[in-house]
Amino acid sequence: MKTISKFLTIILVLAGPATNAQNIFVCTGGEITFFSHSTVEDIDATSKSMNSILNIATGEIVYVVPMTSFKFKKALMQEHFNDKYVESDKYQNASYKGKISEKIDYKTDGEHDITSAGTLNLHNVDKEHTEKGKLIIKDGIISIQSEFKVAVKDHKIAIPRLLADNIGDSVKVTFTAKYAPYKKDK
Amino acid sequence: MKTPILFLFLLSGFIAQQVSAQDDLMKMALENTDSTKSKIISTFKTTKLISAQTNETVHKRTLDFRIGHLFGNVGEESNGGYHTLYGLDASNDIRISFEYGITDRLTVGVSRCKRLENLEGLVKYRIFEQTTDNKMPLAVTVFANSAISTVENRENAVYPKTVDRLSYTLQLILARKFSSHFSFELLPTLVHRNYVFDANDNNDILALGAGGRLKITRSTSLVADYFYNFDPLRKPNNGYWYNPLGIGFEIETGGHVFTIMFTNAVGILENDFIPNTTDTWSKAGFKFSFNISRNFRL
Repeated sequence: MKTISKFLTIILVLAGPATNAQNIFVCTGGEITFFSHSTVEDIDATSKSMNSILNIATGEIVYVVPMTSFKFKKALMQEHFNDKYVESDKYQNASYKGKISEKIDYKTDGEHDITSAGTLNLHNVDKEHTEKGKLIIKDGIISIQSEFKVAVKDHKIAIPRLLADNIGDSVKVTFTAKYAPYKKDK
Repeated sequence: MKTPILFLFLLSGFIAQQVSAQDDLMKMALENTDSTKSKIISTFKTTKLISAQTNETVHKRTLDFRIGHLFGNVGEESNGGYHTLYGLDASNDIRISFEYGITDRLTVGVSRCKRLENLEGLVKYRIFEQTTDNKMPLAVTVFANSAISTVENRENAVYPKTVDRLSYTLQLILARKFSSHFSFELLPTLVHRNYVFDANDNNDILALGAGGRLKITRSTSLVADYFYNFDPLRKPNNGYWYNPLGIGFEIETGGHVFTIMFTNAVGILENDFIPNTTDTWSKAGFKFSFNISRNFRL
């Protein structure tokens, strides 16, 4: 019994670093902005409520942002965005599940170009996305920045013909997320 | 003694394994996200249904310019019919109003109504907003106005003093969005008139309004509202006064809301249609009417 328990303990300690909660990094309140340009008007909105979790052992990464947290300059635009286009009451969040393909040494400071392959869920429609970003490690704090495009059509967000000139076909999304080690007691 | 420690080790290993999968990361991320606490928006599309106010107020620094037009009665029995092209030649009431959002909760406005030559000042304030987690199941807004009727004194209709021309409405608007397609509201309402021409009439009139919106497509809805009058003289089957009932169709395009409707209400202002509606649907005393609202961001 004693031998078995020792053996298992060693195994768990060795296996630990790959799967341990120590490898989990959390971002709360990340900033995400989208921007649509058209000949009639530019639309931009920002949320400071994006949450993200990164597993540095596996490179797995997820993002969640509540749709109603996007703030627009025009209140009426914000209302239409939530009520008519993304239907925030039914589909409360936009989310992304992905995996960073590069192997990164998270213990040393540095800047890395990264690629993440995964799925974006917006308006309850999944779309595969492989996007590039920048990962910066400085003084133990990990931050990730990225910019990518989302086609409104890909997510079954219909724009009435009357307003087709006001809303661009594709929307540019940029975000910055800062990560801190996961604390269990939180 | 050794077994519990072993068990704990295994358990901690198990928990660590759990958070490694993407779906579990997602679960963790969702736990930190409080999207459930948000406020319900767009209970109604605009600040009025047909005759009734809604709980909605004008957004901050936005001017809502509204034109309401109430044509004449459709039916011959109620002075409409062929010779007025079913009321289209007559205009019972026209209301032009400017309403401005000082904050997202507080709206102030002025309006002019053709009927009784009323000049109105209004204030509307959102007290509570319905939340998605149902901790606040209702939206509550209060509406108050005062109007001065500038009509010339005539025989049998003389206001002794200028203050007699004033009337007021105080209204509580209790609204709930039941689903993205259906919203309903109740409006306990008090109308006070400083002076009434008939000595037997009452200065204070209590009514309960009810209104609803049924969304048909993303931009169109069916709307209806009704006011039940508690005034003893205006109880059902009094033979002279009737309760106003309106049904309509609402179309929303970015920045505009159009409502086309039929109602037996005689005027557009609460101070007028609640005490004064003498037309009835049963005698085709309903009128075609429309509202246009245009929002300007200032």
